Formats: sequence, structure tokens, C-alpha cells
Amino acid sequence: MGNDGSFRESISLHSDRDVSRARVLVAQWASQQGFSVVERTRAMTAVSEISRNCVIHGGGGTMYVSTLYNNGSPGFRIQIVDQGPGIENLELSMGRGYSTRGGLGLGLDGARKLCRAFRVESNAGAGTTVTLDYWR
Amino acid sequence: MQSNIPILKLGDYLLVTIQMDVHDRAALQLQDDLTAEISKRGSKGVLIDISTLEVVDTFMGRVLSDTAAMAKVLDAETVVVGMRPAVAITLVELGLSLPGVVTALNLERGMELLTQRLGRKVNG
Repeated sequence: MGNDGSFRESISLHSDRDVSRARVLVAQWASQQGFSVVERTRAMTAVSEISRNCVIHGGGGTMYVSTLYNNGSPGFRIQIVDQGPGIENLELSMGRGYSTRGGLGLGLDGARKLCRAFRVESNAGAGTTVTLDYWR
Repeated sequence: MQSNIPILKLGDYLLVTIQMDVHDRAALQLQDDLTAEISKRGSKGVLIDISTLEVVDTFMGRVLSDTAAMAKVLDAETVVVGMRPAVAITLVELGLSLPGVVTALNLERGMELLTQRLGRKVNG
């Protein structure tokens, strides 16, 4: 617990079991903060996509969850960080149906639709940070 | 390796209940186990119960689609049952359409649907 009442948790992402753990952690945050079942499901699904990307494409990394307030509405910020090869063509990757490894190609773009605010920072060779914000 | 997802025999059908915290490899292993079981038993119908599943993302969506397609070429019909309303909402928002996957509200309706579809096949 920080001085300002903020709280932060992290989980390491290196296998498909970690992806399951990431989903569970986000479900706990959503429930504790009184989110609806639909909103909790959106958050779990988005985190499932992004943390799997992190494990498969980013060579593993870390997920951080921290408290967030948006105009007084409580919520949480999820950051999924890897030191992998980065996303070469971010615009292309955000396009519907784009996939580098035979997936359905909806992962990154799909996750964007399932949160309140979404940000990807990535440079070729310098890793990727995806930030997903949720508030009530 | 077994997927640890039990495959039950239910009359002429196979019933699989996917656990809520299933990880990716177990879901993929299920495809192997299920196709082996269909082939061994000559099952004509498969029910996949996802009522405890809180997340159907692009990976699980593809597993469900692929499993139904694999069963199909082995001459078995698949019905996915018990999808939670929140999962249905999220799937649509995500833009996933689960190509080739037949769904029913619950196990009972899923069995009815299978019986109907298979009856039609038998009677031409």
C-alpha cells in the first residue's frame, strides 16, 4: 500500500499457466472493486489476449496491476511489459485479422475494444508495454 | 499426455466439461483426446460444456472452432453448451464469430439439438 492509498501487484508471465494466473488476478481486482460481471469478463479476456502475446511473442514479461481513479471513479490499470523484439508494424498489428503466428489475428485489436483506455508502446528491438485502464 | 479434462460418455454422445481455469496446453490436448475418443467409440455427437468458463478469447475460440471441425471430419456433430451471458457479450465485442460452432443454451437443449440433427441425417 502506497502513501496515497494506492496499491500495486505484479505477476511474472512466462507460460500458459501464468496466463491463467493473470486472468485470475484481474478477476480478483475487478470483483474487489465492485465491477459488473460483464466488465470483469471484458478485463479477463483482454488480459488473456495481451498476456499470451507477451509469453508467445515477447519472450515473457511481467503484468502489473495498480489502483486508478478516473474523475473519482475507482478502477485499475493493467500494464503488461516485455523486453521482446517489439511490434514492427503497430498499425498493421492493430488491424483486424492480422496475425504473425497463425492466430485469429484479433488479439491486440480485440483487447483494445474491451477496455476504457488502451495504449501500446513498442519499438522494434526494444520490447512492448501494453496499458489497459478500467474504471467504473 | 492426458489433458485432465474428463471426457464422459453420455448415451451415444461424448460430454466434455471445460474447467474454468483451463490453460492453453490443456485446451489443445483436449482436441487430441476428444478426436481419439470419437474414433475409438464411433461417437456421432459431442457436447462441450463451457458453463464454468469465464473467458473465451481468440485462443479458446479457435480451439472450439477447430475441435468442431475435427469432429466433423470424423463424422460427429458438436454442440457447445452453457455459454455465460457475459462471455457472449465479450465474444461479440471482440469480433469473434466462432465459425462452424453450433451452440445451445444448456446441456438439455444441446442434447435435443444433437438428436434432431442426427435424426435428420439418418432419415435423409
